[in-house]
Amino acid sequence: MIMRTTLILKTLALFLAAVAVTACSADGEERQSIEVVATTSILGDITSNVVGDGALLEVIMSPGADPHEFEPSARQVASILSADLVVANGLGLEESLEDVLDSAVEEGVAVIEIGSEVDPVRLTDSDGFDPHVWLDPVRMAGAVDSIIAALVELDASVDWAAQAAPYRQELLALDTWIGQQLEFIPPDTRVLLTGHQNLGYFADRYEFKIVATILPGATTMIEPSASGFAGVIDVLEASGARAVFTDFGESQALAEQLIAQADRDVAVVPLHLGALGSEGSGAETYLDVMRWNVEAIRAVFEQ
Amino acid sequence: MSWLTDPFSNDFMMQALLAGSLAVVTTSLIGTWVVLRGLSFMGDAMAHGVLPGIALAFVWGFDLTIGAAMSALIMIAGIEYVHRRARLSEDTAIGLLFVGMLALGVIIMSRAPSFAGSLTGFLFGNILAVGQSDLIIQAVAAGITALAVAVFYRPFLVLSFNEDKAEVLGLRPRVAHTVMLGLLTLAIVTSFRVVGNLLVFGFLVAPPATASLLVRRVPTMMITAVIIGIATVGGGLLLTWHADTAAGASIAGASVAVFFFVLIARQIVEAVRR
Repeated sequence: MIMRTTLILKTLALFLAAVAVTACSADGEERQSIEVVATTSILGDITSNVVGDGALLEVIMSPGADPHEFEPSARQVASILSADLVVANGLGLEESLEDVLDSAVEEGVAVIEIGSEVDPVRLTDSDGFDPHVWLDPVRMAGAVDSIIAALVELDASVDWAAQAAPYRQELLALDTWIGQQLEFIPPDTRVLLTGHQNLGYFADRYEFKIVATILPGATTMIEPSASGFAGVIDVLEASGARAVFTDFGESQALAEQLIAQADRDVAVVPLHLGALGSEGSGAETYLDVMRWNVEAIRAVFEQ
Repeated sequence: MSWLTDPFSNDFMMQALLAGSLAVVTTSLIGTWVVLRGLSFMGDAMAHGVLPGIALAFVWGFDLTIGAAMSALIMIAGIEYVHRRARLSEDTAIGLLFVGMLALGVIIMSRAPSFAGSLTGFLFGNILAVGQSDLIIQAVAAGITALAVAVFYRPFLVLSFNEDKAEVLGLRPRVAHTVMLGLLTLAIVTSFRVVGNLLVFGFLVAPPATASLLVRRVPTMMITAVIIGIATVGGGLLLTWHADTAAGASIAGASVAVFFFVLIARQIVEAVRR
């Protein structure tokens, strides 16, 4: 029933968007500056640092929204279809935006999928790529380059690269800082156990091993099997995992059950993995998200 | 026999079995009447109609069960209002409220992006994540339901088979109907968090429907439904364990599969007897 409702809503949204687009172009108003739309809150923050005042930016997902489950409003669909440039993550992350992004490409909107631009890695035991590329700051420096290239295509009169250079530098400095923060952890204890397969790129960059995930995939929209869950309990008991790292955007119920069942004393530690934190969380920007997460991870390993 | 016992040596599997079984007691006891009176659509609508209350409870930070209960009461009142004032059939009234409430729930959730777990969790629940406090609430609900169906047995029976006669007998069909809807609400709001919406509705309909194929008397039907339901929970858990399939959906699917198995088996038996 939910599925059918979703489909109807989506069709309606596309229809309304088409009407809105037609209405806008009929006005014949001249565009003053480039209109850029970013899908996730994290990509939105990174994009805003690249475009600065040089373009109008709209971010589709608000802080805290789980990108796997997000549903756009009709007005947001209209923005995507009428934008000059759409910065999306791709690789199957924005599950319910995929149709809209396809339509945008057909409408002639420049759509860049950051995920496929920054050397994505395949998921273990699946054909697909892991979409959670933003948890590696070096890849996000690459994302900045992709966004710059796309902006140059649209308007070469602005020196986008020079404008974004300081931020790009900050991303690389963040990488160095994270490396230093986690340096003290001995190689043999660098193991992580997570809610779903979302820390792969982070683990690769900072030499951690993900021993298990509660949900057996790269999305939150699945339910585990009983034997799969029992397997995760065994791994938690056998491995040296210090905590169960979850995302603030996903249900904590299974993680709580996991630590209740394990014969070792571990904690559930939620991190800002899928989205920016809400106001007052201390994780309102991408840089702060990464610092916040790394400090939380460091605190666990310091115990 | 280790394939049968090994999975349940895990605490979380025993808790899932217990939670599922308690959910079966609450839902199948009232579900028997739902099946007898043809209230399945009402049950389905109520199971989904609790969404806006849950979403609001989450946004405003009060107890989700209270939110669900309020939502269900508004839904019942709304159906009653449309049915009486607009002079439309009850299923039209239910349909209107069903869609309206579900849409409202999704709208509220779309404005509250940090709704953790959201739709997937609401639909399928987290039967593998059942804790002690969940079990206590469910046990109390199962007790209340068992007591109520015993006390209201006569009024329910007359209401189901001869509503006009109920008035004459002084059994007050409206009170009986209200109590029945109250029990339906209780079953839904105490079970959905644990086993999810799909499974609540599955338990409400499938075990009683299966029981109705096997026995005739209502009390026997209720007991048979509970036994079938509990066996299904066990079977579904074994399925998700051995076949590595999604937990909640395996149990819900098993409950419906059992119905068709019994239906076909009964047909074969009847054909052979002839």
